[in-house]
This record gives sequence, structure tokens and C-alpha cells, in this order.
Amino acid sequence: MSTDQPVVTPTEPDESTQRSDRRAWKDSPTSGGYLGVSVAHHDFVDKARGTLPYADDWAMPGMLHGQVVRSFQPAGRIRGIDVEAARGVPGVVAVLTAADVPNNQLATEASGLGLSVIETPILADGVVRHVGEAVAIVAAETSEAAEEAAELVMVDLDATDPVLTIDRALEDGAPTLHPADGVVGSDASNVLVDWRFARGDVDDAMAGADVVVERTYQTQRVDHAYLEPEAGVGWIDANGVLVLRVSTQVIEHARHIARILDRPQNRVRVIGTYMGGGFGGKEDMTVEPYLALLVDRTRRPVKMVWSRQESLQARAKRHPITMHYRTGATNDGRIVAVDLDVVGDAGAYPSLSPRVLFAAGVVGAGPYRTDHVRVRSRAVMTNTVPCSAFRGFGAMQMTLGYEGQMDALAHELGLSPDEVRRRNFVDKGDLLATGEDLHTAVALPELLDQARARLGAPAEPTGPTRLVGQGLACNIQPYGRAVYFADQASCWMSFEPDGSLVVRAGVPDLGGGQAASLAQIAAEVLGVDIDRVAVHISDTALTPLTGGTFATRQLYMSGNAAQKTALELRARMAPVAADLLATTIDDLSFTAEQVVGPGGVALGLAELVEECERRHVSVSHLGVFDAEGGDFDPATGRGRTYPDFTYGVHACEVEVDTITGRVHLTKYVAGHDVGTALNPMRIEGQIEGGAVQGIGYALAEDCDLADGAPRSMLFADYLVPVANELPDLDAFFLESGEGKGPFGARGIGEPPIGPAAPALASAIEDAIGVRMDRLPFTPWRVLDALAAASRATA
Amino acid sequence: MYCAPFEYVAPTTREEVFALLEQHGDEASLIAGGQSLVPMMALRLATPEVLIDIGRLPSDAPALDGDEVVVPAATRHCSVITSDVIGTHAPMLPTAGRHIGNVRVRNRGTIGGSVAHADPAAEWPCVLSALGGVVRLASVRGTREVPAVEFFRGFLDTARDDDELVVEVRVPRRRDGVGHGYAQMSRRANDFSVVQVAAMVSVADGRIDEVGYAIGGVAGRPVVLEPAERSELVGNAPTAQVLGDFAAAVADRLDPHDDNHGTAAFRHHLARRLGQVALCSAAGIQDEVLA
Amino acid sequence: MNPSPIHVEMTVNDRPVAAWMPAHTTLLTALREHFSATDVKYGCGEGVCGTCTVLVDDEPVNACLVFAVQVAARDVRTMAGLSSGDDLHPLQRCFLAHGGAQCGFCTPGMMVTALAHAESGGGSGRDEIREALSGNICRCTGYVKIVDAVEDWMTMSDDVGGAA
Repeated sequence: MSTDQPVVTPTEPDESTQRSDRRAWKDSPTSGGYLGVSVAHHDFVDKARGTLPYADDWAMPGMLHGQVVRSFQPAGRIRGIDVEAARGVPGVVAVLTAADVPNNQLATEASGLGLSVIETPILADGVVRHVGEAVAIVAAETSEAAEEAAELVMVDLDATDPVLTIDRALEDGAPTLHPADGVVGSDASNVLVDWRFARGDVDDAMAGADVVVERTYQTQRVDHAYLEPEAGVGWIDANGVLVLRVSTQVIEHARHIARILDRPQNRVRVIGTYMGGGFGGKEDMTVEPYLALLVDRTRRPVKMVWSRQESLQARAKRHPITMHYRTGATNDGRIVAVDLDVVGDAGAYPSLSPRVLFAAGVVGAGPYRTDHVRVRSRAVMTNTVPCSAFRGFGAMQMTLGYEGQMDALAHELGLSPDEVRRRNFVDKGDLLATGEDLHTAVALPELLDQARARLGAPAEPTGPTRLVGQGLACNIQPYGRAVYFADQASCWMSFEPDGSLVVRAGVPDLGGGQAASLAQIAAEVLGVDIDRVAVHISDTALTPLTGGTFATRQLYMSGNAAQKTALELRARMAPVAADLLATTIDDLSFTAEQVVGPGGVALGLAELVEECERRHVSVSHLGVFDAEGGDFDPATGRGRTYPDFTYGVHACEVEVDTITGRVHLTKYVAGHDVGTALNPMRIEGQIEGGAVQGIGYALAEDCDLADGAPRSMLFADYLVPVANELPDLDAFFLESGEGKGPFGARGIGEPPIGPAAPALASAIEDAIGVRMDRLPFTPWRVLDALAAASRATA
Repeated sequence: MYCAPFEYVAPTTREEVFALLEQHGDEASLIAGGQSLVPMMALRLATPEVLIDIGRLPSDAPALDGDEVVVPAATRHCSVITSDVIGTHAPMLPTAGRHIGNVRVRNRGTIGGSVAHADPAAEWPCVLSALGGVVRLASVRGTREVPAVEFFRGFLDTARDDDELVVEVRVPRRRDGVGHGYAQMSRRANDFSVVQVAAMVSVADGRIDEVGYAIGGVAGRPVVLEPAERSELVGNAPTAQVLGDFAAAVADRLDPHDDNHGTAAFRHHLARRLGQVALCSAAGIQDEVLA
Repeated sequence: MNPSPIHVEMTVNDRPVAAWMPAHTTLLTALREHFSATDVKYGCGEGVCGTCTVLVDDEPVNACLVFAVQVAARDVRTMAGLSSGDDLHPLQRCFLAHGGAQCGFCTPGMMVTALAHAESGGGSGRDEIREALSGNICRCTGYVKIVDAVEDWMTMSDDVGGAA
């Protein structure tokens, strides 16, 4: 998409920038003046004006409307599907079932290490494995006709015994969801993946520990609840290419779609729209395969928009995880051993579960040093809605456990929770459970000090039936894809003769300012006015691929690709400038639309471009960034996992209403090390938004199932936090200068969601004297805990 | 996402409404603000063939009529909240009304629509039941008044006949010596409450001489006092202990349901604790219960 | 049953519009599909999320819970009506300056709700703003920057003599 719109000029660094601690600022190799300032890119202008065309705002002449028919049963055999009544609805053009899908088996080997291959059908073929599973699709002249026809598709289902819980899935004799799967290292056939990481001698060390705390923690299934439901429009273009313009975090799904359609991969193009939120929920395909099938069959443009209720019912969720911890420590609070068992509910199909439980296991011991650690992390299949990526990706669920253990240790040893943490924080060079060392700075001690100081002393309760408590929690979150995926991102930059710059990169923008970052980096390196940078993103046909926007990888991947491309382009053009200015390339700076030499002698960028073209020096460059590689051995559980990790500390204060059990959040502080702050306003926005998602997850959000079906499909019952129940969050960041992104930046997309739940658990414990180990902390659970506390003291 | 098709009519007089209701019976739905009905229609839980928009009927402002406060059915929630006459003479209404939905729902939704819809978690049915309010119905057959405690029959079920229009609700004007108390708990600000309790306590010479009480969210309709319970408190001094015991006794006969907004035990707890809070507020001793 | 379509006229952002549509067409559908007001978004269809909020005769309304025929002949305003061409409304500029929009999907509803709050004499205190916006869900920002934007705009408006 084109971005040649006027751009708001950079603003002065605001107060928040100044209040952040600029530690160890690295000398930037550049001089454009765009780092560390809050720029508002054109897409934000269009959002404020209401003119940005989201996926559902697009229409094509003669467009049909698609609708998915979904299962109401969690498990069963399909005896037949009667589509006659649906076909009879006026305006219906196509009704497709499994038999109509050219290649109905999408093979997913999500671990990346060849561990397990389970086929996922696009439309249920003979078997239904979860409520909400797609069974048929309809295209009609109007969305209303499509909806009516979908209601009339009759699925004759022979219901079978569903496997609805992890415990049931692991029982001997439980039905297996995918009987023919090939699972390595599993002892039950519903186990999708069984990761093991170990270092040292846990049993011996645990036996020698002065204290051992042992607890089980449980998280729940939650929904991304982005405001833009899944949507897209597909058509076949003049070149015979099937085009999908969809709200997606991964345009590279074009290759999967080609495979489903039995088309050559160069005959499917995906254009990603600016998203109305993603958070991982648009990382797997949503509307894409259904749109593609309907377009392929009808040869007409088709639009599909999921309703909110269908999204809540059927789109992949965050994994509920049960984690059992044993942590041994010395009397002075030093951890000697961690023994951890993690089980996540993958739901009915693999999606990204192997990777999610991998991340959970890798950081399961938390940002704490320990020489003896043993982690087992399994994903188990059940007849429930699949679980997959969601901001924090497995790593975030584990905070509830490892931070709970730290507070439990503090309690056991009579130390302050802060002190126990300080004595155990990892530092650069320390090893994780996998035996890999940490490459970059760990700013946890500084973050903890600042968070505690900013939280201040607790307030007095506002009433006699209220209890006040404070809590704090830390987290470790990987960023970037696992190293064994050999990740890569490309970027293409070209100057126009007038000195303006075109940047092309396949990065999808989910509202975090991904496109804006590319403009900022290019402007910084090449000295182009940011208003004169046009960014084209997210198109498999026209922009070089960067990989999807997930795993907090885009700043690292496309950001580095943009920086590298800009530096390489500058290096190619610099000799021409040096020649014209009669100086050396080392004495040049690219700034303010000019190349400036010693003594202020300068050359306009447009002049330089003209001269380069005259000399046949290309002013267009495709740069490729290769992520750090590395090997991981699943058999030993050792090796390298992620390119880097990042850290945060949150602290909060709550008031617990002892009559209603409601937890009122009164203060919240959230701090993260961002390496180098490229855009302070966007960083704060990520921290504040992530923290509030974490708060909702901690206190209320729950996709509760009954018999495998949602207890409610209403958005009214999915309790996303609203403005008047939140305090003003105090978001801050430190700059260690040691991230692996461009200019030493670290990713900040996922990390801020992590510490909220344990910070709240800690604050509630401080208020009522009981630790809550099961999410969410609903009023009735709080009251139960209060009752238990009063029984204990009675 | 789509409502079923319907015929739309927008009469401008009550007589036209009566004629339409008589003609279409249960195939017609009345729509005022639509904030309860349209979500039901969008989910195809309601599929009227005829939609009678009563939003264009003339309507009076809330007013005092002798010892009663008259609230015309078309009065929007936001107007109930801001009405001086209601605030002065029936203060529980604005107190409870502030908890209704979000600003958009309060702007469009009406008291008559909410009463006719009879959602057991809604505010008005509970409040009217506690205050001894009545619902006035009109049809081509004439008008009648039904006490709120008889009007609300069950989940989305009322005493309204298919040809009748809710035209107003009436609540007794608050006398000197009468206090109103209202307490509720919702999972999220602006959402339906999990449990709410509305209480009216009349005190003369230091002794309770009349009590009105209703609990919402614990059954298909507001739970009100049994005849024996109505007289139980009379003659007692209004203390936190007495009122708390009473609320607990009433709560103990409830059989609340379990859902994703609360367990049955939680609802029972709320009925007991919020009941005490509401009663004590009504008796002017809320400081004692919150101490 | 296929009742005959109804001719619905209204004013959208000072522009008179009209179209034939079935009676069960919601205001949201009418605005998006008949009147080109795609800045108004579908988010839940239950009146909960607030992203379809529009002002009908200056009051915030759930466009998804009102039938277009019910607001015939009335004045509807949406966020897009705030700006004219490249000239942004001060509230829009405040959203930009403070980062009040991330994905931007809640922004249309947020902005008109803030506008109605100010126009109806609501206060510019942060708690008052939070209360006014509490029926509009944002999943990206955590609300801080939205409140910052509205507060800044209302304070600015107060300075020049009354909101908006």
C-alpha cells in the first residue's frame, strides 16, 4: 500500500523521554536526528481522520460474501452434510465442503525441528474435533444471504466421546484426536510435543537445599479481543493471480494458500492491510483459506468478515497452562535448583503449540540464576478450540509460576520479595536451562529499584471494608524467532530523482507503528526528511519479504534489514558524494536532505541522486538481514534458542473489596529495558497497552468452556478492561544500549503483558494474606481465598 | 449479524399502537430505545415480523401525582438519572440508573422498554419491586395497573399481554422517615450486575415500621420478601446486626445459578452482604456496616 | 417474508443522504454500505465495544443497535466529519500528538464520544474523561494516551472559551 501522504513532523522529545534513564547511550553511526523522537507516521494521520482502509472497508465490483459453517459439537464423525437447502437460498453461488478443497490437508510441523506432523484440514473431513471447526463455506450475493444459507447447511454428526481436559487427554485409554501422528518422546498419543531441558543435577541439589517451595499454578484460555474482527477480500487479477487483501500478521501464508488450491506459489498474492489489532490472533490464517477457495471456485471477488461471536467461538486462543514448580534455595535466599513440569492445552489442532510450549520451557525458571534446572514442557491435544500465538507466546504464562515461587521463597525465608529477586537475578553471561548464555545486558536491578521507587508508599484504604496491598513482578521474554528457523528479512530502498525515498518491505503493521519505524530508520541513516520517505508494506508480490509481525521480531528483523539496506545504499552513493565534494567518505554526513562534507560544504540529496544515475551507480538497493543462527538439539534439550531476551519489572497497588471480592487497581508502574528508544511515545504506548492486556488477563478475562463450547459467545461477557476501572499507568523505560535490533534497540511488543498477573497476585496476597495460584483472580476466588485466610487465623 | 426481516411501522398515537398490537399480536414487537431488543434480534433470539416503533409517540415528563412519582414509559434512562422530581421523591431510581449500561445505552434505552424486557439482571425490575412500584398497561381493552412484584414473572417474562403497551411506571413518593438503599456488584463498570439489592426501610420512633426489599440476579425475576418476612423486621430497632441477620436469612432461601460471572455460592454471598449494605443505607446506618 | 424497502433520508456529517433499504438495516450497515461512512466500524454488534459509536442529534448512539429507519431525518455525525480535507480537528491533532491511536480501530468511537462529552458540558478532569469513555473499549493503548489526548484538547478548548 502506498504511503505517500503528508507526515506529521517530528515532535520534541517529550517529558517521558527526559524522565527515562538514558544509560550507556551508544554512539549512533548515523546523524539524521530521527532517533529517540516521537514521530507520527501517515497511517496514524489517516486513522485520526477515519480514512485508513481496513480490510472490511474494501469492496470490489460484483463482490460475493462468504460465510463459514461451523460445528456445534466438540467431537464426532460426519455422516453427511446436506447443502441442498443452503443452495436453494436466493443469491447463493457456492457451497463448498471438504470434497471441494483441492488439497484439504495443511501439514503443520510447527516445532521447526521435525518432531511432529499433524494434518489440519481446511474444512472438516469426516471428523469434527472442536466446537467452531469449519465444516463448510458459502458464497452469496449478499452477506445476509450467505448467513442465511450457512444456517441451512445440515451437518449429520455422530457425536463421539470428547476429550475436554488435559487430565482426560493424558489418561490411558482416552480417545486420541489424531491417531496416526508421529510424536517423538511422548508417552501418550494426545501429546503433541514433549520438550525437555536440563542442566546440572536437580535431584541432588534439591536434596541439599535448605528450603524447597512447591506449588502448582494454572492459567486460563483467553481471547485476543482485538477490535477488528477477521476480515478480507479476495479476487483474481488481470494476470490470473489470486489476490487476497486481508487483515493478517503473516503475508507469507500465500504459500500455504497456493498449496491448498494446488496453484503455483507465484499465482497467489497476499496484501496485508493495516490491522485493527492482532496480538498474535492474526498470525495463523483466519479468513484466508476460505476466501481463496470461494474465489477460486466462483471466479468472482469475495469478501469475508467474521462476526465477533464467531471470533470468540472459533479463532485460536491463548493456551491454558498448568505448571508445577519445585524450587530449592539456601537459607540466604539463593536458588539452587528448579524442577518444573509444564502442560499446555493445545486444543484440537497443532497450530503453533509446539513453539509456544518451547518458549514456556526455555524461560520457565524465570530471570533467575540456577545451576540445576530440569524442565519438561508438553502440549496436549483436546477437543477444544485450538490455542496458538498470543502476545507473550508461552513465556508470559510462566511469570505466574516463577514469580509466585520467588514470593513463596521470600515468605518462607522471611526476606523481602525484592531482596530474594536481587540475590538471584541473571546477568549477562549467565546460563539458561538450555545451557545457552545470555548475550546482552540485564537491567533488572535498575528496573526493580525504579519500579519500587515510583510505586511509593501504600495509600490508606478508602474504606473500612477495603484492604490495600502492593506487589511486584519481573519477567524475561525472548524476542525474535527461535534461531534454528534461520530467520531472514529483506528491504528494498530506492531514491527517486527528486531525492525522495521509497522503502519497500513485506512487514505487516498491526498498529504498533511497524511501517513508521521503517521510515524513521531510513530517514535517520540516509538523511532524508521523514516526510519524503514513502513506505510500502505487506504485499507478497511487490515488497520483499520480511516474515510476519510476531514474536516481537519486526524491530529486530525488518528494523535491522532497513538499517542494513540504508547503510549499504549510503555506502554505494557516498563515494560519488565524496568525489563531488572533494573529500573522503569518512568525512561525510547525511543529514537534512543533504550530504555535508568538511567545512559545511554540502550537496543536495537530489543532486547526488542525479549524479549517481549519470555515473550508473544504482540508487536502488535490496538489503537482506540474516538473524543469528544456532543449533538446538531436542534430544538433549541443549543449544541456542532465541537471538536475545528482554526484561521488565511491574509494580502495583490494589484495594480489595472484602464485601464484593473485587480487586480495584489503584496504582500501576511498568518498566522495561528497550536497549535504545527509537520512538518513546510508541514505546510507552506498547508498555501501557501490554500491561492493561495483562491486567485484564489477571483479573477477569476467561474463555470459559462448558462441554467444549464457550459458556458465552457474547463480547459483553468477555471482560476487556475499560477506562474507568484503571489508574493512570506509569510506564517507563531504560536504555541499556544492548539490544540486538537496529541502533541497539530491543523489541517491546510482547514483553509488557508478562508481569501483570504475578504483580497483581503479589499485591492481592499482600492485601489478604493468601496467594492465588489460579487465573483469573475473579471476585469469587478472592472471597474464597479471604474465607480460607480467616479460617486459618481463627 | 443480521436481524430477520420485518415490517416497520412508526405510529404517532397510542390508539394506532393499540390497533397494531391487536392486529399482529405476538408477531409484533414494540421497540423504543431498542437497547435490549436489537441485540436479541441480531442474535436471532427475537424475530418479530412487525416492528412497532413507539419512539414517535408523544411523552410527558416524569411528575408527581399525589403520593406517587409517575415515570412515563418513554423516559430514557439518562432522563431518569437527571430528573429533579425523581431525584427528590424517589432517589433510588437515579442511584440505580447510573449503573445501567454505557452512555449510549443510557441515552437511548427507556424505563418502559427495560421493564417490558424484564431481564433479571436489569436495574428497574429490582428497584420497582422493592419500592412497591406498579406498571401501568394500556390496550384497546383499556388500562390496568399491575404491581411490579406480580408484573415480573420470570426470565424475560411479564404479565403484559401481547396487545398491551407499557405506558408508565409509578413508585410511591418517599415519605419522611423512609430511606432508600441500593447496592450492586458488577464484574466491570457499566455491565449488568451480578447481584443487586434494593431496599426501602421506614422508621418511626426508632423502630422499623415498613420494609421493601428485592434482590436481582439470583433468579429469573427479582426475588422479593415472603409475607412473613415483610413483618419480621417491623418493631425492631434498625441496627447493623438486625439488618444483617435479616439479609442473611433471606439469602439462605435463595437457589442462585452458576455462570461465567459468578458461582452460586458467590451470588449467595453477595445477596447476604449487599443486602445488609442496602438495608443499612436505607436505614441511614451504612457507616456501621462498612465499619 | 420480504417487506418492501424503505426510503431513508438523513444527514451524515452535514451531507444530506438517502437510500432505499430494508427496514432491518442497522444504522451501522446503512452508514457503511449506503452512505460511504466507512470510518464507522463494526466491532461486536452488541453495543458493547463502542467502535460504531456515532452522534445522532449530538448524542452518542450504538449504530449497531439502531435501525436506520429509526433515525430517519436526523443529524448523524461521525469522526470523519471532524476534519475537512487535510485540516484536522484539534481533537484529531491531540490524538496524533499523544499517540492516542495505535491500531486505530476504536478511534472513531472514542473521538465522537469525547466530543459529545465536551459538548454536553462534561468536565476535563481525568476521572471524568475516563468515566465518559468507559463504554468504549480500546485493546491497544491501555487508555492513558487517549485520556491524555482528550484532556489536552478539552483544556485547550477551555482556554479559548468553552469546549468545542
